[in-house]
Amino acid sequence: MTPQVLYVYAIGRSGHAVPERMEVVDGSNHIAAVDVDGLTAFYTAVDAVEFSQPVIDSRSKDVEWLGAIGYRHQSVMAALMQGGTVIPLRAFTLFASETTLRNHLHSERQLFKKILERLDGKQEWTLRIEFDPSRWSEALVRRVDELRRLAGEIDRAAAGKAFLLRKKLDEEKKRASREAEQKVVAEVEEAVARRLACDAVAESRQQRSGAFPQINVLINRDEEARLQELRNELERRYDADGVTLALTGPWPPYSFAGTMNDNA
Amino acid sequence: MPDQSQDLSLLETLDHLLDRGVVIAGEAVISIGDVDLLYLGLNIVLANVDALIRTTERR
Repeated sequence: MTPQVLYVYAIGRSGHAVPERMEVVDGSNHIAAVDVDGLTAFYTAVDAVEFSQPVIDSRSKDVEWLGAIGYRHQSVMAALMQGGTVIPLRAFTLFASETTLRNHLHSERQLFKKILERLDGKQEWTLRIEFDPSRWSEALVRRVDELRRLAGEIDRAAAGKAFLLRKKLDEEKKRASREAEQKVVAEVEEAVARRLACDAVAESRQQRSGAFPQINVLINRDEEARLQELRNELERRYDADGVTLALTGPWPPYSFAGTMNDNA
Repeated sequence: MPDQSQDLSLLETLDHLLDRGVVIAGEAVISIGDVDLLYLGLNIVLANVDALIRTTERR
């Protein structure tokens, strides 16, 4: 038998039903549960080589493979969430053996129980803040005095000097864009906190390796309409700047799952 | 041809599933203290999930 490691999906309370007859990450339908101190972790024992770092790295740009893992992981999570609150773990959370998983549940039991209480009755939604490049660039010139001054100088300058000033303007725009983006993210985060008094995790473009910044919020199940309303208001506020807000969810509350995701 | 909304949904799902918790750019944490936790980092180009979404939208 080839060595195996445990791919862990989520942690719930003891008694939480194990989903049956569904396709899981390795294409099988084997889900098992380990129960420790009132907690249950749900996992699939997978081939240690197939789920080793070198193999994952070599396949990490294979969207078909990754998509299949993502789809199956998400399906298992959805089934688990139908049975009650769980702490969702992100893809590729692997333990070496059932013993190490048991030990981890035991040593972190108090924290996991606190997180489960925090997640009870809640949903995660994501507000992604998108910037239209050309409209945002124009908006920056309106917003930032220095850029406006440079733009005016370019209009008045001779061709050679105008060329150099344009290069300077581009550099200044990049810097101003980063600052202005952070300001918009902070404003949106503040508006969400004021309106919904909920937990929120903001992720800047830098934290997201260049992708649009976003704010993940943990709200009560009945607050979805208020969040949607707020999103519409904010979008109207930033419309002239080429900023739009995409609201997606509900998601498994990965952003609020505690130590294993290291950001709660 | 796959439905565009399905593509978009898949990318959004991957973005959440593989978010920064896992994407440690190739770093493999084989053990943390005494806990033999294998928390694998995918060296994946998630940097531009948004760009991919836009590409999907344009198709």
